[in-house]
Amino acid sequence: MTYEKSVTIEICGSSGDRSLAAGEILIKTLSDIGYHVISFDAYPAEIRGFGKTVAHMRAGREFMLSLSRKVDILISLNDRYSMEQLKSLNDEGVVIFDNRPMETVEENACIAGHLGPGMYLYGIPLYQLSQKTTNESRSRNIVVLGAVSALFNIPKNEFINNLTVKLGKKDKSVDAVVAAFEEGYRYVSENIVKLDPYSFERLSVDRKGYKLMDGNKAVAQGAIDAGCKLYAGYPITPATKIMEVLFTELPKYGGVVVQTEDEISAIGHVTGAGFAGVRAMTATSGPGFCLMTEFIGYNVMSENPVVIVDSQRGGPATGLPTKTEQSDLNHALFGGNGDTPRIVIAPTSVKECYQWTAEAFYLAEKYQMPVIILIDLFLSLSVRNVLLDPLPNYKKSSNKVPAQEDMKLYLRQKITDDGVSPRALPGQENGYQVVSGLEQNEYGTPVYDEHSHTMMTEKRFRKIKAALENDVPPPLRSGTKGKVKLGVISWGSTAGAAADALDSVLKEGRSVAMLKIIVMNPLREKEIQEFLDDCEKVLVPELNYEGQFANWLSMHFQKKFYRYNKVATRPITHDEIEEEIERLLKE
Amino acid sequence: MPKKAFKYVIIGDGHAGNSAAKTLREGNRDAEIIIISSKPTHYFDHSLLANFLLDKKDITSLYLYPYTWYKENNIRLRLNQTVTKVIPDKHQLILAHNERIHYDRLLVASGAKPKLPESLSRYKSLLTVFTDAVEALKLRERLGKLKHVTMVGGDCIGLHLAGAMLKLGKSVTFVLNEYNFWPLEYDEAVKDKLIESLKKKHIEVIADDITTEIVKDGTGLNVMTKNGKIIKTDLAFLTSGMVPNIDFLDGSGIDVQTGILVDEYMHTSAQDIWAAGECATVYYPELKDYRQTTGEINAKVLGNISARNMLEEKKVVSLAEPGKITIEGEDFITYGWKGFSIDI
Repeated sequence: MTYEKSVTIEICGSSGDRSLAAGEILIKTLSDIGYHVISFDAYPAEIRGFGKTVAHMRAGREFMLSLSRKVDILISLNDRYSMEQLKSLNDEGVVIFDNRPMETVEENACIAGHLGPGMYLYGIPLYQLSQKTTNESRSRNIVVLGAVSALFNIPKNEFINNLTVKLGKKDKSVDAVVAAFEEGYRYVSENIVKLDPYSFERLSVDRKGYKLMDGNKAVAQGAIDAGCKLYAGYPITPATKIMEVLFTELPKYGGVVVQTEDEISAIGHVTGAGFAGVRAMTATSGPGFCLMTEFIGYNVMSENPVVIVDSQRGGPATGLPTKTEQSDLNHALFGGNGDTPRIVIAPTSVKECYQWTAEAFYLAEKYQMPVIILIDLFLSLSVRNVLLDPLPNYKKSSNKVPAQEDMKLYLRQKITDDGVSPRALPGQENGYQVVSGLEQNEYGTPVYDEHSHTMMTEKRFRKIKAALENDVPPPLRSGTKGKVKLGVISWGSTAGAAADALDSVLKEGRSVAMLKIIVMNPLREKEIQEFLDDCEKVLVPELNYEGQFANWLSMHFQKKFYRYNKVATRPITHDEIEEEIERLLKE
Repeated sequence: MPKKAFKYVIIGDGHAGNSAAKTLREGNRDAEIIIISSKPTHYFDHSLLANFLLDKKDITSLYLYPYTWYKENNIRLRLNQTVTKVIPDKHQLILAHNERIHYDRLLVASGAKPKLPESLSRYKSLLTVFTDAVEALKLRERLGKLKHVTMVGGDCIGLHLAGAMLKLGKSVTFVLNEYNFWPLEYDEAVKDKLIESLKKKHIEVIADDITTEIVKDGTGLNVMTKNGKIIKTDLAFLTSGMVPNIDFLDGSGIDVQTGILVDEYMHTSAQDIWAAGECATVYYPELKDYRQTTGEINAKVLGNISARNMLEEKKVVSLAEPGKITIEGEDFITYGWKGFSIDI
């Protein structure tokens, strides 16, 4: 059964029901008792007013990288919104609902009337129990956690500990909230006989060193550990949390966070810091990334290091602020006028968000160009327990410092074999330089002739080639070795779903392999070509309409790519990719 | 026969309710059919319940239909949802979670519940009942701690249960009173035969006595009788027969005596409401009188007849052929438990 591998839980309510807070405590507790977890919250874009909020999480004994499409346990804090979630519930799934609501419910307005015949329904008087313990109805989310603890055998001490930590031990409301939790636990223990098959237990596994974090926090941590000293940004969903984390943490490491008046100003700050030799970063999402585009070109032309994080959300324009998508790849690869080489990195997991953010600083500084980290809302906000590997010494400067003899006649744009010119930082003796967005000669003087423009364009592209040869690792292949019936090439957060899907179909004995691409530009063409040569068919799943990565691959390789594109407003799940793999194998 | 998208609501997920749902679906492919049950488990065979205690089988092993049957037949099951009120004038039901449900035609097939003698009503919380799968599950969890159980009364469910308890190595005491051997046709000869059978199995039988008091004693209980007997036991089962489960009809205006009074068409006194199974007291033209019905066979037959009448067939009920059940090699006449045997 599904639960042997993992259990997917949803807590659904309206904005005021605190579903997400309950989800946060639940996932932390599951992590504490030894489960691998991955979560993803869905919430409305509007800050004020009500809308559907869903805390979605998957917990399993085995390591996993993606969500499941099918839900096993649905906890309803608001039936109006939860009823829609029944479409995703397993045929033998569980529904927990408030069976003593305040008011009479019209027929079919209650989730209880819509369950499939194999589903399990547990009614708990959440409203009543909340009122009883806290004199208000807002603690229904805590009462239900108590019920969940009793129903699914999740140790309650861990829950209470996490509740206390979340509220702060000195908060006067802690006692009342713990009482609400205990009341939910008691009610289930005394009144409900468990019939469903879902159950947890404390696992005897060593999780020492594991941290529960989302992609945004991992990006922030990666930046800190790479020696970032300036963050400038303008708040935008889903990247805001990067700034929130850094506001607290960066000053502890001697860094500064500046909330600017807009995204243009943010990238301007980062550009200035980069010029000054300070590792700096900004983070934004699609609309903000659009505003930063001019500065991408500027930093390419002026050969200045900047790190830009774009956490993609549904677009175009303001689009779908709280929904995930992978549709900024074209923009990240091509955005800007002229020939603008840049490094584009797309981490596929929270752990990689950490590693590759640190790497981005190293690359930006070494190759004096913008490095774009492309994550997405799902990766930004999904919480997982991760073990972060110690970083190589990325804090060490990768700036190519000019030799003293070079400073007699300093050539800021000196032509070199790898295209990287020695870069004098402000204050270095004789390190005078003109910095502008104009084309320039070796001295940095603006020029507009064919020879200089060709020479400098080639120089800028040689840096990309050098980065490829020296610092871009080969993409990771997994699955069946040698020739295969089907290969999957995946990128970004979808690669997690593809990896989980691959695990499943390999267990079924299928001849499949996967190539995970993290560095989107420059591409390791040789290894990708070898992989393509091994595959009869190649599937490229991605969360955008056009198949932007498949198009990018098509520009480099002569191969038919089978596209699996969705603009589903939610991540592609492993089971969807499994089905597509099976379909293509049968075709 | 109504062909429009009629909405049939059935209260009860037992033999009568499921039999009716099946008939209704066969008679009207387009109708909306809803079964509402306060039980969280599916339709199952009650005669297997005692044996369920003896093995580690999953509760679903008791189920008579796989849940896919309901899907295939487009019958909506609303399990674990309790009807608290019926409002015939508005063709509405109210559920415990405050939801209103509309019906075009309603079948009440809510079955029976353990009879709690008035004298024992204040000891309700100390008595264990054993009539459904949830209770069986609860009991199975406690079995390891039990050494001795007491049956307060001696109905067929109690006899079944005693058989399972003996096989599990528990000792059993019966306190027999006026509620003995439901639903058998009771007489002294029956009683004597049964007592003899029980004693042969080394079951303690306290006959012609009545339980008057139950008190907690540590983790166990003391069951006291009118004649001064004190039985130290781990668990006291209420096995004094069954009564129709129709409390939710209070105030509905539907005529009720022991059970819901229905005419020979299984129709109640309220428009568009029928009743079948152990909750119904049925008018049999052959008897020119009402009779309380019991047993799974009766429930199935009456559920089917009710449904056919809900489909406007005008089917008249007829008295079931008397059947025979066997307890410890002794045959007893019954109306509703044909083929049923207890060999403890």
